[in-house]
Amino acid sequence: MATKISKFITFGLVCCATSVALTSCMKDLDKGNIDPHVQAEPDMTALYSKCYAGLIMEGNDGGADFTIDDAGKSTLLRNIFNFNELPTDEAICWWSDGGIVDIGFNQCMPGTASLRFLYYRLVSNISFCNHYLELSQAQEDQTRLAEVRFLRAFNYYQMLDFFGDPPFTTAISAETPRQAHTYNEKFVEGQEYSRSELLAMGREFLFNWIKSELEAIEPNMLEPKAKTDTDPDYGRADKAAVWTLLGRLYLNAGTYLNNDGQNNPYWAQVLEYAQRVISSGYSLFDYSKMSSEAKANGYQPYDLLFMGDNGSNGASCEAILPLLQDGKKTKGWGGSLFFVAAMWNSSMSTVVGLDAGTTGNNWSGMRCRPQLIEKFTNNPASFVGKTTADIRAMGIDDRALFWGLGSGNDKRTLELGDNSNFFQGIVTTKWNNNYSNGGTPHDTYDVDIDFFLFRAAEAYLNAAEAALHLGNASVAKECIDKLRNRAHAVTKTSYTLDDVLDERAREFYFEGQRRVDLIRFNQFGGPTSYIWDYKGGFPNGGTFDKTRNVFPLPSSEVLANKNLTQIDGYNEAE
Amino acid sequence: MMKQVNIRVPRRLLTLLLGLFLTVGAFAQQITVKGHVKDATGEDVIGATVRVAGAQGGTVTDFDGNFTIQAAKGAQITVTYMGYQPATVAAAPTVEVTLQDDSQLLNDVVVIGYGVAKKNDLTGSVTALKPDEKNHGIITTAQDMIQGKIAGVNVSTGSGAPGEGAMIRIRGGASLNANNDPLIVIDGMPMDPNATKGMNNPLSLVNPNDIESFTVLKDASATAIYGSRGSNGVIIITTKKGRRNQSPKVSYNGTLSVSTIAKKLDVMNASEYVEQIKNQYGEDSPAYLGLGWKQFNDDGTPNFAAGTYETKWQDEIFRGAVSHDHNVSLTGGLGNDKWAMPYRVSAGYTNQQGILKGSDYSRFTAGFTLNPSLLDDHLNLNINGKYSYSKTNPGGQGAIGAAFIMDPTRPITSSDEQFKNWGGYWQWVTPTDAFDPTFPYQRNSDAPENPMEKVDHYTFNKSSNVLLGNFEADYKIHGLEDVRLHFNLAGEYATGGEYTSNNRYSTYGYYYGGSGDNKEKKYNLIATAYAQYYKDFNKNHHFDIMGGYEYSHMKYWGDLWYKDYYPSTYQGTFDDGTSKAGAVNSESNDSWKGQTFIVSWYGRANYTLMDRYLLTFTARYDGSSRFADGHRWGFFPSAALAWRVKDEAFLKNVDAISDLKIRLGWGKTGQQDTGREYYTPIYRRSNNPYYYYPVGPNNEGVLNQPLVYNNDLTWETTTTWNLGLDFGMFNQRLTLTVDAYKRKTTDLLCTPTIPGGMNFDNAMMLNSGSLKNTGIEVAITGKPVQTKDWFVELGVNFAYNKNKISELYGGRDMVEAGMQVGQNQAITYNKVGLAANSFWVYQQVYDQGGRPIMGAYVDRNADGVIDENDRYFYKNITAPWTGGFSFKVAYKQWDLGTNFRGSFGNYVYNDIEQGRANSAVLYNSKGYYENSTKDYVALKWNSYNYPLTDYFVQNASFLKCDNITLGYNFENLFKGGSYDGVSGRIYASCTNVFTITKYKGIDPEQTSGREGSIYPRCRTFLMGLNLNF
Repeated sequence: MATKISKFITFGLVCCATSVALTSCMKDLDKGNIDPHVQAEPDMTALYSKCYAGLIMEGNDGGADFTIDDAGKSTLLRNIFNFNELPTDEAICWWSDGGIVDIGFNQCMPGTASLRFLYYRLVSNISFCNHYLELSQAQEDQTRLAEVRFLRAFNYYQMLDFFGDPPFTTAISAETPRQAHTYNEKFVEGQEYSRSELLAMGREFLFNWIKSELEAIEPNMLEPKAKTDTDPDYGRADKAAVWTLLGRLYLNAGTYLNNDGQNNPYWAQVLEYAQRVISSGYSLFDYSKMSSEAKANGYQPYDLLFMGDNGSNGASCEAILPLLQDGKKTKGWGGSLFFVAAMWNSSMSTVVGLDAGTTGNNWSGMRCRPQLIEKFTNNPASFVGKTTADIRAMGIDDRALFWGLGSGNDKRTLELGDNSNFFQGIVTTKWNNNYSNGGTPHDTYDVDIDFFLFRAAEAYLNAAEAALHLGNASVAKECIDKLRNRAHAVTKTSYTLDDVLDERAREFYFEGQRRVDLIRFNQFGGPTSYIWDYKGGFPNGGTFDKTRNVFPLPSSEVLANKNLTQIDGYNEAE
Repeated sequence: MMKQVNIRVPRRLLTLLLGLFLTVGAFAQQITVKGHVKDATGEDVIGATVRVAGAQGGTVTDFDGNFTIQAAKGAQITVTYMGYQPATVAAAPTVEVTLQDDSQLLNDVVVIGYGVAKKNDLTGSVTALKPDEKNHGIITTAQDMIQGKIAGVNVSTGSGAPGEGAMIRIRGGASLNANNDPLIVIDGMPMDPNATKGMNNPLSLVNPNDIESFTVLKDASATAIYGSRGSNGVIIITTKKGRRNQSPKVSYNGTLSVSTIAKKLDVMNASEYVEQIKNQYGEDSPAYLGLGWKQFNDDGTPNFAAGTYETKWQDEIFRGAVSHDHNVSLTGGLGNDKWAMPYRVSAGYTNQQGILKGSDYSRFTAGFTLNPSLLDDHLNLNINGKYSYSKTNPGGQGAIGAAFIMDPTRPITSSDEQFKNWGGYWQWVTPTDAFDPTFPYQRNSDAPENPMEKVDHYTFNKSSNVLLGNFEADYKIHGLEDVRLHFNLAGEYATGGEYTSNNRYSTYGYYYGGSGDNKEKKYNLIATAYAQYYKDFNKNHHFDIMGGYEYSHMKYWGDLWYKDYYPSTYQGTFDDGTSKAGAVNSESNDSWKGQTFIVSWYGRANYTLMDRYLLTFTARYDGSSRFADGHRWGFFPSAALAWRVKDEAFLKNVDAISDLKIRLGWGKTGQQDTGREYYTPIYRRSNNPYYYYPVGPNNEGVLNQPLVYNNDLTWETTTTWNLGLDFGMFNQRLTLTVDAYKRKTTDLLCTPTIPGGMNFDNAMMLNSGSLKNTGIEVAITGKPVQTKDWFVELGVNFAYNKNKISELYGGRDMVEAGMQVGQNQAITYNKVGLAANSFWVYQQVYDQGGRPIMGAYVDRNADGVIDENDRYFYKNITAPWTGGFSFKVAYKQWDLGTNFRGSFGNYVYNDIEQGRANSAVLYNSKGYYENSTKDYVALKWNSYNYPLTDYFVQNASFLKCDNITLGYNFENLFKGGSYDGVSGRIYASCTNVFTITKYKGIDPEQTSGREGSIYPRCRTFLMGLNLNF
């Protein structure tokens, strides 16, 4: 009997223990994520930093922010270069990287692999900004909130400029995003539209949306002020950044609203915003602002804008929106390093005879088309065989930071030949990681060069162009002379609109602006008077359809989102 | 006569050493037993060994199969003979012994999930396999033992690297993006499919010499008992155990082998290369002048007469590799009629050199098994412990790709000043000021690296320790013997690390050197308990039911660091002007942690009617911590029916047919291995201080990345129908098993591209789409000859599997499947109606000579332009037909065996050819050279931009002779007095003997469907020795 009772007791105990164990086991299923790198609640400062980082960095810890094969190609900056410079008269590259050559030949298709880096980068940046703005904590700092709205507007501006009619959303939701045109009040659901009508509606909607966003946030932005990298607000967008972006938007309003860059009702606004920038705290960096060491080392002001110490050497007085880089703190493959590595090979040297200041100096990719060299000299062949220092010594223009030498047995040519190697075409030494004062860069590979996404010089050229359209030639001359004087280039008694376009090439070549300028002057797609080598993929240049003024949505996105209609001029199917 | 008298001294010593004691049998009357031994066909068996249990010594049968032996009346007399099952009879004045073939007999007990079953009672598609101890090639890990042996089970090693893991696919894999690996269960412990850091292969922790049997559960009626993890089939590994009352036995197995490279890439040698460069670029070209000339004239021009250096890079980096392997085991059983304690202890050591210089793998394993039976056999325990230590030197594998392309006119080393910073290894270098005056050169980072430098300076290595143990108790309740309680607690604990120590004079850590560790630990705990009730109501109704609960917890955590320093010669300064010499240049640290829990209930009911109609139901209910509450639980039922036709009256007496059974099964299984442990919205904090964005006041620059999440994620479910037939003839000398199945997976866990802006990434894991697999598997085994001298066995298995995607996410027609070629160009796609991983390519145009014309594609839609609309679907990476063939012949003491394995209809993207097809870059404008083969150069291509052609998608069907083995078996060696002597076997074998294929690359067996520069599989010649003392 006793044994029986003890058996029952044992059985009972086992049952109790089992049920306790089972209940706690069920709770184990809720234990969730124990990864030490993740947190359930957002750190608002870290999210805010993320929204800025999307302009120049790959992602956390060097990985990409989105699912893509090569983190280094996922940065916005590198894509802005690829898609705004390679299709134009400025740059070309023969790398077999996922359609880089096709982009250079104005033959980018929905399936072109590189397109996805650009598109998903913008989508990713917008998603992060949308998320920040959705969080109630964001309201606690209205200045930061305005800045993040500015960053979102900037990313949507890029969407407008590159694609015209991309998907549009201001929230993270389970709802499948619709294309911009569906938000245009003119759009009637169910009605048949041609692709070009949809594109026009999409562009119009985005134009107005960006404009209203920028106007809405302007009062909450920081006051405009030139800064150096020791200033705590260095790197933040302020009112001048809003004005610059509004200036770009108005400057190209003809393109966005009328598909004709010259048919633009907003020249007065362009001039107005340019003048606001010019009279803000930002100014052109000139010789008087240079340090004595930099002068002694043989530099000119323009050189210092693109060097390793540009955050501290004074050049940042011109930087309305500097993107941060540091060889030890803010590294990346597709930020400023790209502008050295991809442009250089290891046998080149700077205007003062130094190497690139980084061992990342040998990707040997981007070359200049002869037409860019022609913007500086009537005799472009004279640059062949010359170092940057030699070309500077010719006294043409400080901005002609080119390199005409070959390497060993390989001779460099002005012509692009069959576009198959780095010695076909003049190259540029514009960016380098040296310090103007002779200091040591922070790292032997990663660079310290901040990238000046918006420079004050842009306002001068915007003002000049608008003034010419408004019939005020003297304002135009004053603005352009300022830039040319700084570069020790001869000035003219008067300037035409074409001069403005050429001046933009000289001032901003390889900085990721050219495509939109050519489009505005109707010199890009369509029947144009201006052709350049390999334009449209023809060795001697030809034309291509005007629909290629915008890029297609990547086929992966069109396959994924059933709401989308491919951009006018491109094939729907993959 | 006391039994102890017969004990030999060494054995007694051994016994004493182990602290064990032998059974003391009762004194009993000794009788003389006269016996006769025959086989199932009635033929006398000559030379069979006859022993009396518990007694020493024994005898062998004579020419007529007769024997005489002394034994206590009623004692167990055991008769053994190669090729037959041991037979036991009770001692009597005259005995007749019939030996059964040593094949899988119908009464064999097969290990199934949560229990065992007689083969004859199985209702599902279950294949049991005992490793063939004679017919095999080199065996380093468990996967080598099942490769090619089981219909529908495809085993393919990732590469030829020593210790490398394998990809195992049962019936083609049920998932698109989630894990397709089968569940592996070792002695009741479901293994974590992920290897710990430092380990190559989760299967490598089991010494293959310790494996008793494999059971492969293929259909859902068999695997559904594993529920959540059963979708891709289950492989149950059971390790060897001692037997009750077995006298102690010591065995040794050892092998010594030499491996050589099976096939090299046929690149140009130096003189061919010089000729090619001369013809391609011209005699005055920078390319020709810049070759690796040995001497130069005073004016700096090359002395052509002196020629160039001649280096065969592949010959330099590969070697004949010597490996050896030793295993010792002690097996026995203690006890008496009341209790028993079988035991087995084993230890093994493997040292495998790789054919790439500097690569090797070594492993030490030790294990024990105790299987005590207590309480009058009511309580049976199974206690296992296994330990494994492995160390891998992977070798500088970048050297393999570099050896394909490195210019053959360069020397390996040079005393020139410019190579000093690489320890004298020749490199393409450029001067630089970035470092310091003692390091005046940097390598051209795009140029091929000197393969021998990569070999000689490689210091990375990894090692791991794994402990695996379980305690299993099976208790038959006293007085209620129909009820069994079963409990198993199993655990795995593993630690592993990867260690780097880079020399500053190497390409791996140029200038800064650097060292670091990357370590990980994990544990995996499973507790399971079930109760089982058997009831025979009467002769016609047998019933048993089982129900249980399981708790599983897997946790891992690890950290890494890496640090490098400025050399003392560095001259640069920090911003504040202090010297950087000797300071840290870069430093990284990271740590991680993760866990999953699975909680399950399961049950099985068997009902047998009239011994002929078998019904099985199983069910499992699983909860996984990988999914959010509300999506967490999955229910996986199955049902199966078997009809033993052989036992019907009309077949019972047909002697020719020894087995006929028809099986029908249906069941559902699940998949929860998403590769991630979380489902909630979270933010990832940046960890590496080199990637901060410090914008604004008081901001260090840490970034928060909102991560993509899907809290609707739930189980992927696979439903399987299986129809099987087991057929045997001539007392099972000819057996045939056929299974046909249809499998549909729904709610596929996949990671498609999602519409931009919906979540925080452009790809997200979700449940969407469905996939079908249909197939048939056939296995035939025959023993056409079985006489006293001759034994011949043939086995063939083949399987056909058709994989078809029936639905994709969001009603889409196709999505990218993952393989990218050239520069990020997607080439494989998943398309509705086609097999997964199909190639979507352009159709190549060839010239009259059959040469593919670069960039010339067929305008398939005839619209006058070649664009993506001209791409078409051409083949896929998975073989629809796979199979194996084995043959074994034994004559007296000799045996000869071979195994073949084939794969038909699989296609491989030849990425070696694609990568080398562009011969315009033999001399690269960045100032360096690359080698190629004559065939690739003859393509006359001059761009990398055309990788999407069907030309590179090549038929990689193959038939491989996996091994040929010749062995000699001996017994009674050194026999003396009462000692039987040593028995054993000596054998020689060749592994990876030859491959028949049309494939143009190096090796058609590529698990990824693409051939790059992988570590090549080698050919191995092996000598082996087994000894039983």
